Amino acid sequence: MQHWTKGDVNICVYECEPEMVVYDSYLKKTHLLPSPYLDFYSRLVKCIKENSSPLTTDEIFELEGCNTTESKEKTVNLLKSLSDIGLITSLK
Amino acid sequence: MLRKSKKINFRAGRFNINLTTCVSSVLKGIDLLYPHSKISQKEIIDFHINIKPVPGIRHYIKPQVEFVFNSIIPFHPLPIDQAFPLLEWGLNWCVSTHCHQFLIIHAAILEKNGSAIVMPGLPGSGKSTLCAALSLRGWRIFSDELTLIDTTTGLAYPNPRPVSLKNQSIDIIKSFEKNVVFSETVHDTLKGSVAHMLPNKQSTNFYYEQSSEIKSVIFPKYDREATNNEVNPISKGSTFLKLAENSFNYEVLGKEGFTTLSKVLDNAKCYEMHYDGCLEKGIELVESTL
Amino acid sequence: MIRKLDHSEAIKQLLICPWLVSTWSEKHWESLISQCYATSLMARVNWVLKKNNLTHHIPQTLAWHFAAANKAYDAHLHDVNREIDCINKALAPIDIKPVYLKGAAYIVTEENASHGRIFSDIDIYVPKNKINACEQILLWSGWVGSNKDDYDEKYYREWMHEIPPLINIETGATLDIHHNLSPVISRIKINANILEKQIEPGKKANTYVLSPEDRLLHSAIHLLTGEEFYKSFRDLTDLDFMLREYSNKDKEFWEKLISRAREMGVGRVLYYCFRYCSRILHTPIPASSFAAIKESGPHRLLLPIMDSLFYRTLNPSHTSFKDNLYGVSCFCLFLRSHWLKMPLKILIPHLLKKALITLENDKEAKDETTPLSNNQ
Repeated sequence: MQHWTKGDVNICVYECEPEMVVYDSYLKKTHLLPSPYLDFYSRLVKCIKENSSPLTTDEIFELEGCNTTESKEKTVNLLKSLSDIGLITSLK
Repeated sequence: MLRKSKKINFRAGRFNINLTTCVSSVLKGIDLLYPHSKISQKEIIDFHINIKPVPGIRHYIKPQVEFVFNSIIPFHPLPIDQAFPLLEWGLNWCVSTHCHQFLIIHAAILEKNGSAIVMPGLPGSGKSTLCAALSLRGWRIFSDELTLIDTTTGLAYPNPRPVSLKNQSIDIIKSFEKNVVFSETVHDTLKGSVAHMLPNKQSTNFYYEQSSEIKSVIFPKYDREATNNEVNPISKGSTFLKLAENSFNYEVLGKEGFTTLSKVLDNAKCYEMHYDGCLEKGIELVESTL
Repeated sequence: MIRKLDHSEAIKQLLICPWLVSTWSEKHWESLISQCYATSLMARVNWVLKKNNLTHHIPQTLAWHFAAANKAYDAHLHDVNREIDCINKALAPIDIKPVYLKGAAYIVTEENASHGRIFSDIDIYVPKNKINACEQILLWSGWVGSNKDDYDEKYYREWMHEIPPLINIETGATLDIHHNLSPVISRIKINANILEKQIEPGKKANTYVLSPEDRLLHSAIHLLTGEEFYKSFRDLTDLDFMLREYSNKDKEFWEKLISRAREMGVGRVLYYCFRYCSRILHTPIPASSFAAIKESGPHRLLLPIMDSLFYRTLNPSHTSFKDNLYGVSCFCLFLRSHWLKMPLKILIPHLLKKALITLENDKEAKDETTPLSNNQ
């Protein structure tokens, strides 16, 4: 079961609804993420902080109200994209 | 060319320059376009510059000049008739290469009543012509090329210098407003025909520490065939990336560059502007963003 | 020696006696800044001022020059460290432990010569029998060759001590891979095997460097047999920093250095290094070391000529220091550098070829009237 926590310490976020700009200060790369990412990321981070611990994938499905295969797949893709940029980190 | 080099100390924007040159067109250009900028020998100099003829055979056959910055020659030489534009391009290089106390964006910036507008633009976007026109309608030029943003506050600081205009823009501005002071037009440069316009007194009589908050970022798109003259809001996110791409030193500043742009965009609205080149209409569109 | 105490030699005064800045006028500081730009030493000079608690003497209106140069240096330091991580990661699968040279070596050892030092390429040493594997895996891992023509390929691979530079596609950084410290065909023949016996770990994880003596000698060879002089004062300050730091840390450094120079056959280079570091930057070198290296010096008739050439080219390349013979001196040392690097039968055709290439480049530049900078 994968656990997800807040990402790389080198990552900075600028929230400019409905998008967000993400900066990796180690790689010196700037990314623009469209609207679904900002809302999802904000909810995730709020929940991780409240939990004071990483969230499992199942907990995230519950948070997002994912009860179909399609919605779960969409959530997993969002998680992977955020993880690729370093905004969140996946722990095995 | 003069027989002997002359040394002049003058203020170019917010920087003090010591210039040594024997090229008369450069000296004439300074007299014309920096009329109240001479400073005394006691003032501290930021940049030591020399515009000098290339020695050897080039002195006699198709003479060229080179820009020397503290004994370094950063560019290839240019034909002697391009000496004054070379000085202006060189001064831009001095700022954009060294002044990392600012985030430096390739954009025009003007201010009126405490609000600044920034117009980034690729060549051909019409930003320089618009910038010149706005300055002739009461706007203060902070810069026609280099927007300087303080990295701690996100505020823009003035660095006004002669406005660089190219090709048709030169005649367009000359028709737009009579009695504007221009340098001689120099032809066959890398950018085509180039001339420099004296900025208005409001731009050059200012207190260098007077900063301004950026209220609008406008991406002008000049299209002669455009049917709609309009400004459309665009997202802060896409503006952020475009400003970063148009910055000289975003890579050098790293995280500081990112936080500076964040501060700017917290307060600025962002637009794309399409216009057909009618300057009065262009000015109206720009002013409508505030 | 410092010939005068007026501001025309500000940068040398500061490096030799930093406390002198407490007596300086604003004009003195202004000259320093100009000389710092000319020698690419702004960030290093700022470090010297910080180390000696003298930054409060910097005039307020000029402080930005130092602060801005520090930002550029900090960015450079970050980028180099990141690049070193990439190189190490790429070479790890084939168990090659690259030995970092020159500027990169200063950074991985965190020595004084790293402070404020900006350089354009990363240099590594890899044993000759591992060069091909090293090059292959880098090409697979995101580096590309730098578009050299057939002549350049031959120049590097058959004659020189490095392969043509590789460029990291992702970052744009250039990597120079050396298999010796001097060219294969050079008159100075160094046995690379002896270098490997004294390789040691750097302070940065998974990095290796040459021993302090070899690092010093490598930098000295590069400066004192090299062909370009626009950064030579900066490189001389590298040697000064290294000699001071290494001798402070190890009482036996001087003997080890001299013995190593003899072993490598570069006694003459070390002779010049001692001579010009002490005369231009007042590097404290023991009299016994001078005596020990004296026999490696040039013929007594040649020495004044070399002094004349090196004093001109090793001092800052700034108008305060240059005279009418500066250009000629650079050219003489350029010819000498090529003479040292190549036997005559290769040298002459090579120089002709270089002259032709220069003429062709000049013609292209004239046709395009292209300034070097894009920042117009």
